[in-house]
Amino acid sequence: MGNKQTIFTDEQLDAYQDCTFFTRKEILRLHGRYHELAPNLVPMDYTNDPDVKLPLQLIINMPELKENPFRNRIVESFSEDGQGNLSFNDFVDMFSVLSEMAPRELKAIYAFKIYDFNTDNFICKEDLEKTLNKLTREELTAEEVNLVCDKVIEEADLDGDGKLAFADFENMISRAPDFLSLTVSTDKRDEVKPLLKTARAFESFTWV
Amino acid sequence: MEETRHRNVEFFRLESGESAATSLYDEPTSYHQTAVFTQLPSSQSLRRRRGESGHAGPAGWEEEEGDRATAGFLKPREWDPNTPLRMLPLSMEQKRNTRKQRQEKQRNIGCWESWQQSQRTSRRRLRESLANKLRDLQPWKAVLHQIEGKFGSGVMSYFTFLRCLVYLNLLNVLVITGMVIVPITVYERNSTVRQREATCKLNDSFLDLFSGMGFLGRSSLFYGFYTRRSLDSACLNIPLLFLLSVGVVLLVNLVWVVVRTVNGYKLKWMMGNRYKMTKSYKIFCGWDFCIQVPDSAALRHSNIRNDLKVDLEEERFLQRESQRTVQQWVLLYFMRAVLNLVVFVLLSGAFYLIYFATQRSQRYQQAKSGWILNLFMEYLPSITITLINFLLPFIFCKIVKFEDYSVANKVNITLVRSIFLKLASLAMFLFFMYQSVRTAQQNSKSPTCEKQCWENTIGQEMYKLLVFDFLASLGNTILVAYPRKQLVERCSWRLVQMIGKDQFLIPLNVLDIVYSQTVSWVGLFFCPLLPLLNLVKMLALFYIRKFHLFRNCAPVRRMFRASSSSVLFYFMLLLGLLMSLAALGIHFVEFKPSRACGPFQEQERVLDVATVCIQSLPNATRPVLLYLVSEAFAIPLILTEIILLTFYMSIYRANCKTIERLKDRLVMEGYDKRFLVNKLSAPLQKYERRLRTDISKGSDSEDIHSWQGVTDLQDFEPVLSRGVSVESEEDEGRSLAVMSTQNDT
Repeated sequence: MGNKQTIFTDEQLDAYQDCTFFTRKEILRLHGRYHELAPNLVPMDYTNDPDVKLPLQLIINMPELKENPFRNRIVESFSEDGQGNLSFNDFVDMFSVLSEMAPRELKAIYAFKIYDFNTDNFICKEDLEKTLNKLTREELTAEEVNLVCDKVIEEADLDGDGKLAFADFENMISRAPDFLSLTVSTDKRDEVKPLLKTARAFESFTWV
Repeated sequence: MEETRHRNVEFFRLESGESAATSLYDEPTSYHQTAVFTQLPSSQSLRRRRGESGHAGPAGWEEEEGDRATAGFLKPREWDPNTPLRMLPLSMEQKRNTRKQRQEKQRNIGCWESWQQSQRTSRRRLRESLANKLRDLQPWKAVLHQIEGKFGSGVMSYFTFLRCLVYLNLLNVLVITGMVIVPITVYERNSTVRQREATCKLNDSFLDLFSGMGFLGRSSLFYGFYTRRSLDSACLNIPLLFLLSVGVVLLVNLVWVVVRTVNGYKLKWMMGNRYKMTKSYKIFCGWDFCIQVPDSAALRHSNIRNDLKVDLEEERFLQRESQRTVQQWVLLYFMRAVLNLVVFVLLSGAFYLIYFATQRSQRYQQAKSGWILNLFMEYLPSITITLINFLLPFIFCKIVKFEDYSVANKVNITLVRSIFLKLASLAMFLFFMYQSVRTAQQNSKSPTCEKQCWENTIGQEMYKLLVFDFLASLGNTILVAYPRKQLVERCSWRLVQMIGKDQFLIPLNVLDIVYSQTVSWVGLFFCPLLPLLNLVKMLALFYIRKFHLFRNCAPVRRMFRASSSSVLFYFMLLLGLLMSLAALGIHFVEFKPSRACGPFQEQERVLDVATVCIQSLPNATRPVLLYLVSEAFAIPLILTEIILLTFYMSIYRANCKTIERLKDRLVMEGYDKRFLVNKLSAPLQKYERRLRTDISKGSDSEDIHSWQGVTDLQDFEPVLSRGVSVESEEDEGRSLAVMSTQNDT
């Protein structure tokens, strides 16, 4: 094809294209970003699949994730060891799932993992409290936090066990028209280029 | 380490494990740590799947700390081999392995299969790239993204609504151009009208652009331009085409608005209150993951916080409301009655003002000099209406604060009042115009250069309304809001700071564009190219509003969600459309078309063209058409519709009940399962406890070995897996029940 890159073999690039939502160019660009984070650690030549992992601290300082209150959880959810050390595979995977082309079902699965702070496969009340505190930067009083969490569990818990299983979460998300806000853009074209997509059936809004 | 933790929890549970009837909420987590739970088929298959993917963990339950390989909470299922790899929630390594497996499988299948698969993949890729290209073609995509990022999805949905209306107006323009303008230009021929035009050209001026008379009045913009001309057959003539184009435009718009309203209604109201998950949405969908700028992040944090605080406040309000005494209720209702009276008085005052302005404007004789005064008097009704529409909603906002409603209801009531104000003021204006037309028709004169036929007059009034509305909007943005913002930023007087910058209130802004669209519909018959003007106006409005939003407005303090329906707005659009249909209907029935201008000059009634066309159709079709409009057809049709409606309503009710029943059943099954597992593990813990006490006592009787055998749990397994295909909680519950009755010894 005439591309002169020596970072990946063609076979590797094909595999990445099939396994993610990115094109070849975007994968190469992502490798550039990955390399930028730690030029000494990350080799330019990935043809023999080197086993290089970048620590959590480097990844969460990326501009796409810096302002995100859930950045730690995001990186941890995509890492193999659960501690936030991402190999390039995990890195690409993370941005692929968070891109605007990923479907809602896939995002729902990872969203559940992100919001599950104690990784017990349930979103329990403590997880909710942590989520809420991260969202509001702890500006609500403890009583208010308690009230809101109770309300959420009351709304979304279907099987009555006091916490949200994935089935509850998925059921709730499937009715949320603007869930696709779980999107991170790695496009350099616009610094604030959000990709919220309201449900296609109706572009309507409420005033409350 | 996991083993000891496992055991520690078990130990803890032993203390309270005396009674088998533990309260179900007391120890929810330990339920999952009981040995019985790990033997349940559902968790066994989860572990099997984990083992398959190459991450075999030790037996027994433990946290999946290093294991993001498979999402452990997913129901066990085999991935459909046709699912694209990128959709699988697996890690990259696993996806690549799966890919290799698939490729190997592919090599083993025949060439027909592989051709089919490659066709499928290429079709999918084609569809995806087409969808992407279409999405990119939509105008203003980048701007909308920018707005969404900075101001949230609520504000963005206003602009999306505006874009939708632009599309709608474009469609209207295309229909009218295709059905009326094109045939006219094709069959153009000189007619007697041209001679009159020559004499009238002397009085044309630039101001005609604003007043709609003069050269603009004679152009194809207005009703008077269209005559029968050369296209004169019985069923294919300009009047009929004119009528049909107006009908088609209104019908298509009606269908579109109804579809949109119904979609919103479906989602918001048919699910009922039990499904209102607003808080969950706010928490799980509240954060926009695309935010990269610290200021936007801070704004978003405070928006979410404010939103939640308002929700909590609303709960407190509801509590307060339920605690009101009778005396307070009486006082409140009295207050509300008084304020509603005030609103009524304001509305009547507004209508009288419109009447007054219309009368003065109609009776005013154009003076030769003083063109400003002329223009002012001509625009008097438009100015009045625009001023009223601007001031009164503001007053309504203030009034509703005294009426002590909840936050949501406050906004709703203000909105309902504002909608009523805008539509009713337009209706009143039309009504007064029709009155003056009636009196003019009674003393009918043939139109001269200065006096136009009455349809043109009405068309011009609609034109002026549209133009003035646009100018007012432009003026407000540039001449009022911008200086205001500069003043607030530079000057620090308290009064100035109290007034503050302008706020971008979404409901009132949407009301403006709905009003503008209604004017375009109402005036469609009298001014066929009004959709074109509306299109231009909306295009300009997009940029004006964007400028206003970015430069003049204070940051939005509350998050307006673009989620659940704004049924009320599409319903409002529908009301406007129905009003214009009613006005048109009244026009067709009551009024004679004017004698000397327009396509219907020779007829007694506008609909006569249709009658003539139908009469000219071949004889065979006449009975059919007569039947279609007779009662014998209409009544069975209505009856069928009623039956269908009843049918769907009863299905809806039955489904609601089924949903409720299924939800209750889900909860019950969960309870049953937990109860049975707890009950089963009680005897197990007794054995373990006795085992430990014996070990600690140091006795090494063979009892230990027999108990060890029991605690191994392998004995239980045959019972569980004995030919029971467990697919659901229900089945597990049943098999557990079987087990527990067997072990109840």
